[in-house]
Amino acid sequence: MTYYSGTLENLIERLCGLPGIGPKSAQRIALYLLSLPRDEAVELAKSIVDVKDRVRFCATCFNISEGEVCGICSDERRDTSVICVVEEPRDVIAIERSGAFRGRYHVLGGAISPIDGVGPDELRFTELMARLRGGGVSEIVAATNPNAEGEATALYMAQLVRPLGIKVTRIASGLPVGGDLEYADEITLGRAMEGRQEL
Amino acid sequence: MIITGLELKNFRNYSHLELEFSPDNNVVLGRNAQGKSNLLEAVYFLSHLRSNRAPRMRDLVLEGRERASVRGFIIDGETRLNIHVSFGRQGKSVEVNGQKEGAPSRVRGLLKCVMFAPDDLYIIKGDPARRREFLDETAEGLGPLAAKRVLQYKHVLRQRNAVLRSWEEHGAALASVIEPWNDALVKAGAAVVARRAGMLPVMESRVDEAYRLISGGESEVRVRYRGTFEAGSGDEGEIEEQMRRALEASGNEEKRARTTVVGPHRDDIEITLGGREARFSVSQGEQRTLAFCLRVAQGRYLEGETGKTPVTLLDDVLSELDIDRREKVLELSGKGSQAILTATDAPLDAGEAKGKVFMVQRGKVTVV
Ligand SMILES: Nc1ncnc2c1ncn2[C@@H]1O[C@H](COP(=O)(O)OP(=O)(O)OP(=O)(O)O)[C@@H](O)[C@H]1O
Ligand SMILES: [Mg+2]
Ligand SMILES: [Zn+2]
Repeated sequence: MTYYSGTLENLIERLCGLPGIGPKSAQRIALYLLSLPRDEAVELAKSIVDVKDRVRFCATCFNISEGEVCGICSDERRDTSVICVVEEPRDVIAIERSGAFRGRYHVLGGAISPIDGVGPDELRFTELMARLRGGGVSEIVAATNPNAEGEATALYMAQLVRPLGIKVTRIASGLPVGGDLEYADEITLGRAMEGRQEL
Repeated sequence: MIITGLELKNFRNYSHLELEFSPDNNVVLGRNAQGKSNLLEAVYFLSHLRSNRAPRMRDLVLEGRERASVRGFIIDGETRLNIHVSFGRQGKSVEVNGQKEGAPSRVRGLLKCVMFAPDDLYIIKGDPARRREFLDETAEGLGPLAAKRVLQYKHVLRQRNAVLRSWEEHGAALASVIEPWNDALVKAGAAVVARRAGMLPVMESRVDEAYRLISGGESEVRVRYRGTFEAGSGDEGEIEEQMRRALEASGNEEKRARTTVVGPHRDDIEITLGGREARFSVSQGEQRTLAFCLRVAQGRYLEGETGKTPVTLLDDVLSELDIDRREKVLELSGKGSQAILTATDAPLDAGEAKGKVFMVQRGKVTVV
């Protein structure tokens, strides 16, 4: 069923392959792009190419970076003795936005998930270990997602790092601020209870 | 708890249906293949967000249509619920009282029902998986949290089994690759085992009671939990401890089997009647009656745990029994609850029973 010319159809199909975009939104975006002035469309296309050409992974922490080493790794004011380990670059952005962490990061590139064929070897554990053996690190914060895969990844990492005598901590998970106690499920509540603190 | 109304769109052989139920008995009559079971399935679907018989949602959509929906009006004590579930090609969406529910799983078990169906027989004579399904279904009826534990366990189990399937690949690192899954497996597993172990003694006395009433005999029914490890006192912490030990001891066996061999996914319940194993050594009629009693017990258990009386759904159950048992069955199953039952011919004085009688013909329902 082709309502559009081959060129437009091709664009819709490509947009459709993007995360979170279904056939309807793809069509809407394509028609919007079609209505843009030519130079605006070129700017957009150019920024996509630029991202591909200039942005890469930091050689140290594997966060996205414009240079060999990312802004965080090259920031001398940040604490080098604490490394926060996350699954994806977007997790770095989330934690940075909180402003609650002043150490450095390590991006694993995912979480262990055997059913998807992702084992420890598919993640950047070797690189993490090399960093730790370089010395100067006293604590690792496991900030993987609070789901089955994230927990397993954190536990695997703890096993790996413990023999080096480095402290491994896990971010607390619990009740969302502004949430209602009554609506929290027993597992979240259980976690929140375990992680309680003195007032 | 009662369901006062039902609306179906493109569900099974119903293109459009609006129905009002009686709070007492609802007898649904019709010839074979007219839509009686489909109607009960729709009520079950509102309660469990899945079918009681079809594993794939798309089997529930009227042939040739893209989407189906089921709406139910429910009175639960002081609360009125309007649950709307629509599903099809573009996924599932759930609304409660007009508000979209982001996590559909939270709607599971809001409407409580117990479904009696002819193939319940296989809970007694089928393989252990059928009995585990029965236990998981009961947990689902308790509410979203209990249901979630079962799903979590199954998820972690799948991950762990994926490691075991090709364990040689990991060489010397196997232990360190498996270990991170053990914790979650044992935690979720112990929760499931604790629930089952706690549930069965209650069920046993209910089944026994119901069986004596229906059969008029003295044979004792026992319903015992058969786990893959000794659960001990039933305290969740202790069960965790026991399961962890059993898991550690099963290392060689699980490598050979390439799958996890310890845990509630291998559980069974042993049912005996007068000391004989119900699965292999009692008559077909006795098996049928036992299956029926398990359903009665399921309803009573849910009622005891949640304080809410489930809606009773009886699909074609009466036709299998002699007149004597029919009366007792109706009395037992419907006692104090709203009942919706189907039959091909009018069961004993259906017309006189308090409630409503419906006639189904090719996906259309009329009130008699
Ligand atoms: N997705 C579907 N689309 C259209 N028709 C369907 C669909 N699924 C099932 N049916 C049909 O609906 C009809 C009614 O099925 P149902 O199981 O409700 O029958 P019944 O009234 O309970 O009959 P019986 O007395 O034999 O149990 C059957 O003919 C079945 O083939
Ligand atoms: Mg039927
Ligand atoms: Zn970096």
